[in-house]
Formats: sequence, C-alpha cells, structure tokens
Amino acid sequence: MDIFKLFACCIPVKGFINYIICDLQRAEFINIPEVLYEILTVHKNKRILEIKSNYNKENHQFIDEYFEFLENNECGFWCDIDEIKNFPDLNLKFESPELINNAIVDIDKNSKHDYVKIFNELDELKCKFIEIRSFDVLRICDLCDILHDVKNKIFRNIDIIIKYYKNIENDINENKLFSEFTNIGVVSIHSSPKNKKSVNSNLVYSEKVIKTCNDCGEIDIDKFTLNIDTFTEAHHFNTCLNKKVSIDSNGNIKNCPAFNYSYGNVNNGGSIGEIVKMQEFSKYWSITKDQIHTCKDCEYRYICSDCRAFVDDIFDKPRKCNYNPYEGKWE
Amino acid sequence: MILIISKEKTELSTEEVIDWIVFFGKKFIRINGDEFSKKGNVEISLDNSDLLIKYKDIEIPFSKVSFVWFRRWLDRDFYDLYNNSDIDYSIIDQLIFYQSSNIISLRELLFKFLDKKKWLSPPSKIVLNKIHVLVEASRVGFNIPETKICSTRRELINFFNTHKKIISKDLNDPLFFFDEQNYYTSITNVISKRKILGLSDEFPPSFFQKLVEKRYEIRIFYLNKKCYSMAIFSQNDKRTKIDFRNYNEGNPNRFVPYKLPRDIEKKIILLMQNLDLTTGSIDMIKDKFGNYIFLEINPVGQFGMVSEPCNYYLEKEIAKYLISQDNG
Repeated sequence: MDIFKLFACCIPVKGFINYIICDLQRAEFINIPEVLYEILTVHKNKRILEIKSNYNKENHQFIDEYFEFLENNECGFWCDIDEIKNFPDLNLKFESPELINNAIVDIDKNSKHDYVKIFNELDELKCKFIEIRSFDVLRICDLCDILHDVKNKIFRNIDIIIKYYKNIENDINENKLFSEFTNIGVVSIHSSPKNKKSVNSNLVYSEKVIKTCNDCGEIDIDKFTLNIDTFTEAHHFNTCLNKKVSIDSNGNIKNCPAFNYSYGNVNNGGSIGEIVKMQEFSKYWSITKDQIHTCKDCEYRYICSDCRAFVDDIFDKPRKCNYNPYEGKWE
Repeated sequence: MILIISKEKTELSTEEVIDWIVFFGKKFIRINGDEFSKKGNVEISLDNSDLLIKYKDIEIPFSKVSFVWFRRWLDRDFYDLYNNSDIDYSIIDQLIFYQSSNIISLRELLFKFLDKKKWLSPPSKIVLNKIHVLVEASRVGFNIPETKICSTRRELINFFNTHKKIISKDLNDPLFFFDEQNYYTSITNVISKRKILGLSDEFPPSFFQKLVEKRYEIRIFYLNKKCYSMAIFSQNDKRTKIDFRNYNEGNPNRFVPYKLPRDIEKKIILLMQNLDLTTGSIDMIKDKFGNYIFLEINPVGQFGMVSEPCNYYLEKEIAKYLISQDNG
C-alpha cells in the first residue's frame, strides 16, 4: 500500500495563490500548500517513491508529512496499485428534473399577494424549495394563514425569514408552527436584539437588519455551501440563479428579487409557469464561476453563493464580495 | 400505465424517481398503502370483471396497468388505537390483529389482480431467505462467511471457539419499532464470550457468523444487469466498525464510488438471475486480505444512500427503466 488515494468526495481546487480541498461529505474545506496540490493532481495515483523522485531529497520528509496530514484529516487512504482502478473520481455531472427548483417570495407591509395563486403555480412547476422572506413585522398567526395554502403542496422545504417582534417565539410555539407545517426547515429572525441559535437550531435569531431585497448578496465564508449538489451545479450553472424564480414584495416575477427588471406581475394576471418558460428568463442561468472575472481565479468558486444582482457587469465579481483571490485575503 | 405502490411518508427516493418520470412526460398512478387503508384517498370499485382504481383525481382500470413498481407498502402504525381512551387496553391486541388482517387483505387484493403484470420487485420474489441466498451466492462462486444457526448455548460456544470473533444478525429482516420519542432497530453485533456465558441454555434459533475483518464495505445497487457500487469506509470508526448503520453523524463515514472487478460483477448478475431478481441492494465486504466476501441482498434496499454520495443519478436510471418496461 504505497499510493495515497484521496476519497472521491475530497476534491482539490486551485485558486490564484491559494489551494483548498473541498470535502463535500463533511461540508468543510482544508487549505493546502501549492506543492501538495501538485502532488494530488499532476502526480495523482502515483506510488509515493515515484512522487518523491520528482522532488529534491530535502523535501521528501515534507511529502510524508503532507500525506500524514491528509490521513489524519481522513481525506484519503493508502492503497495498492491494483486497487486504484476500483476507485473512480466523482462524476461531476449535474441534472435535475424540475424546471424550477427554488423560489423566493418577498413580503413587506404593502404586499398584496395572492398566495393561493402563487403557491398553486409553484406547485404546478414542481418547485421543491421555498423561501418566504418578510421585511416588516409579520405576525406568526398571519404567516400561518399564508402557509395554510402550502400545506398539501409538494414543497420539500420551506425556510422562513421574518422580522423580530416581542413574543415571536411564544407565537411560534402557540401556533405550533413546526408541528403544524412539517415541511418548514429553518425560521430565521432578522433585526433581532441579539444573535441566538435555538437548541435544535431550526430557529435562528440574527441582529442583521433586512429592510429590502437589497440587503442581500454579501459573500461570506459562513454562507459557503459544501455538498455534491452545489459543487457539481457550480461547474455547469450559476448557483445563485439557476432554476430560481422570485416574487418580489410588489408581486413582480423575477429571477432574483434584487434585479431591477421583471417579466410580469403575479397579482396582475402574470403566470409564473408561462414566464419561467420564456427563453429570456433563464438567460443568466448558465453563467458559471469559471466565466466570471476574478471569481474564475478564486479557490472558493465552486462553493460560493455568488450574486449576480449587485454587479457592475453581469460577468463581474459580486460587488459585496471582499475576498481578493490574487492576494488570498479578505479585505 | 405505470403503477407505483409505495407509502406516504419517508419515501423521498420514490418521489425523486417520480420527478424524473414527470420530466420524461410519462403518466403514472401511485397507491400509498397508508392512504389506501386509512385516509380514503384511494378508491377501488368493482366494474364487472375489472377493478377500477381511483387515486386523488386519476381513475384507471387495472387492465390499463402494464407495469408495477413495488416500493414497500406502509408502516404498521396503530397509534390511533393506543391513543383512544375509549378502548379497553385488553382488547387492543385483538383490534390490532383485526386491523392488520384487513390491511393485508387489501394488499392481497391488489397483488392478486396485478398478478399477471410486469413488476419491478414482485412481492412474491422479495421475500428472501438469508440462508438460501448465502447458499446460492456460494454456488456462483462467492466467498461467504462461516455461518451457524443455533438455539443452544453449547453449540454457540463451539462455534465461538472455532472462530474466536463472531457476530449475530437478524435471521429475517431487521426489526424497526418506534415509540413517541425513539426509534429502535436491530443491527449487527459482535458476540463476546461474556455475552454467550450470560445467555440461558436455550434460546430462540438465532443467526451467527464469523466476523470478517474488513478493509471496507461495498454496497451495490443492482438494476437490470447493471451494478452501481459504493465503498463505505466504516473501519476507522469504532461505532461503525461492525455495522455502519450505527451512524456517526458528527463524523460521517466516507461513501465513495466504487468499480467492482468484472468477474465479481458477473457473479452478481448470475446470482440475481438465479434468484429471479431484477433489482436489489447487495452488501459485500472487502476483507483485510483483499478478498471479496458476499454478505446479503436486500431486495427493496435504499438506492438514495448510494445515489447521492456517488452522484450516480440512480433515480433517473430507475425512471428510465420503468418507462422502458411500460408499454401502455
């Protein structure tokens, strides 16, 4: 056993000066030095002696240490040359059967949404994930009225982002929000007096103030997503916009609520189903991070949330991202 | 038309296959055991010599069903009886027995009328006997662990003394049961000398095997002569060393795509054909010496747990297979 084999779910990614291994099963990334990246890619599946023969003798000890480090982090295992063919790489294809996979519905105090229509149309589209985001105070009992129309729908997960008010947690319990609506995932409470996470972590309080859909688009290490779905999707599509539809607080049907143009208004007869089928609607879906200036040189490009709304040009790096991949620093 | 027999809850994989059937623009009808027997979402009416199924808005005669995909039936859930304070507890067992037999007769009705259709996993084929499967596996040339079924402490001690390290397993399917808070299941366990000495002289017949020291486990999802395999590195973690289902959420085992050698795949295909199975999940071990050891077949095993970490899109493959078999 003289070959160190990375697990297929641990994938090395090269940035301009930094290198990482994306661990798609344990949802973390590990920084690695350039030379280890080279060993894992250029010298992939080679015997350790053969690898060492490419480097000066004084570096051999470091090579042993690198492999020890990877083994300790359970990124791979030692195997024989005969076994290598049994361990193929992860296939990076990405496909999904639905036209629309996720939707955002924004609400503010002036919203006059026809929720029955919105949820029926999203259900018809087989949309799986919904985010309901309220900028102003929305009482839990009023939220329950809205959600009532979602009850027998196909939505696998509904996340709620809602503004803090006194006794909100009480109302959540009193209305049995989580037991009544079993497909609710996380309820995030913004504009809260303090940051707090509940024990079972499906209730999160945050001091962050979200007043409009423009309070979005920050790129942050905490928002990176490390899983096979996102990683493979990022190789072929835009992870921010692909298969997404948004209803902004005025009822406008958009790809992202922060875009300044819409394709129709759901409350004025616009059909979500018809709009998302328009060719124009999906024009940005296939912009991958490998095509975006600066981002294409960033080691985080396949795990980053991206943002195509706050940019100067659609192929520019997100304006609210302060990571500089050329320096390898958050500014 | 494709008929899917499933259950209402915890069947995400079934739903993902359905998403792909919809993607390919094909029609299907679904019967969930629990909805059929309890909730009244399913109706069956007699139309002279044919039966008519109605599920939500779709109504079709059984004669129009050309292919059946059987994905389990229902969880036996009788909470409502236990929670009913009007019922005298002494008769609950009898009521459960009565209700079970009603549900079974409904299921039998379906199976009888669909008897001549093409099925993926016909109910008559999926009742496997572990010992029979081991014998058949050995016949096609697989290594299998030394196995013993016994019911006395004396015999078990002999078996233990021969092999030193032994495990116990379910003779039949694993047991699952729930109460309000917890969920219990039987898993594979190491049997120590101490445990054996603590047993009574005689016990119900139980299944024992020599413990195979594994390098990694292999889970194969088999569909129509194709093997989709995954290696499970459960060896490093004490909790998962014997049975990876004893899952460690904080530090999950590695699940990676695996390509079996051609001769092993050929044996699997032969074995599945001999057992008349078109699909199933197969458990194997690669032992410390590099041998492939056959363990067992689960005819309605989960494919989601192989599909997701290996990015195999098995849900799409199954949908394609169902569609290819459906001629109506």
